[in-house]
Amino acid sequence: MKPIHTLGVAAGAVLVGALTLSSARVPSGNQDGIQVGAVASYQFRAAPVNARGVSSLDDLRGKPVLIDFWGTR
Amino acid sequence: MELAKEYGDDLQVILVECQNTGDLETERFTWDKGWMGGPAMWSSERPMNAGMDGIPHYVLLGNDGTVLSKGYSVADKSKVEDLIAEQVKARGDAPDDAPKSLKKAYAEFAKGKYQKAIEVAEKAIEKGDDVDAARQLIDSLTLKMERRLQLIERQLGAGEAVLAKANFEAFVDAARGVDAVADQIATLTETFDSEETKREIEADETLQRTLKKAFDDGIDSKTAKKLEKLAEDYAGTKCAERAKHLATLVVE
Repeated sequence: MKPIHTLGVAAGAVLVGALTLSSARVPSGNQDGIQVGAVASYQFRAAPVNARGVSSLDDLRGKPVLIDFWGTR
Repeated sequence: MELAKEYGDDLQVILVECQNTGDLETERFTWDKGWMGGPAMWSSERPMNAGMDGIPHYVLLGNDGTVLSKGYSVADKSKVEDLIAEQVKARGDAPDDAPKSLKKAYAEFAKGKYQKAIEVAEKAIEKGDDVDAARQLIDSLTLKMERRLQLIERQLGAGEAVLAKANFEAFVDAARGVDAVADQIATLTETFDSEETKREIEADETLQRTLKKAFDDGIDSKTAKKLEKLAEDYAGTKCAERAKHLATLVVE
């Protein structure tokens, strides 16, 4: 029985290690994506509604830009 | 939308649809709400990954395109408002590390006095003060002017002739005496004086009147007919293409 118990402990250790690594890799909320201090740049593939000739974020330099992510449903 | 209305041209709000409803549905939504032609832009493209779970969330960019803040829109409401107010107030301020001899150049440019801004930088070069920084500033101001002209050209190309004309007139006033953009101004002046552009402007004025009435009185089948007629009357213009497309958004 002892070998089995040892195996079980070893497997458990591997599992805990894997979970630890896994949780370290999984970003949570604000940890992922663009960060504060980064310079944002994006060229729109299709003109946004009400774009008025604006085709990229660079076109908007000189004023603050609030990008709001939401849904219409 | 409230912030977009409050700040007008001082702030750009971009609303990004995140539920994959598609471009046409997004357009229909803005049309039905009466936000078509409003101050906020709408897109179903995500300009960046904000790294947030759930909606609504936001990313706020400063005057120079730097991310100032990101988070959940409702929780951060007052923080976002304060940051926007700071940015609006700071527009035209020289960067903290700008040499003293050039600070006035930033202020003049922000006031719409482009030639004066360049003269300040040229004077610094003559005096041998901060020569490299002054040259870089002239290059960056010239680039900004060129970008504004390119935007005006794109506005014309998109059938936004009234806006393009207003922006061009303001630009000409601001850039009077600037040699670096004199040729481009002359070319665009010819464009705006052409019969083709005058027709575009007339079409756009008519479209704006039609849209205003539609949003004030309510959108119905008559709206679609008016837009289709406008497209016929101004056939061949870019504005007619816009009107034709807008007519397809009217759902009875």
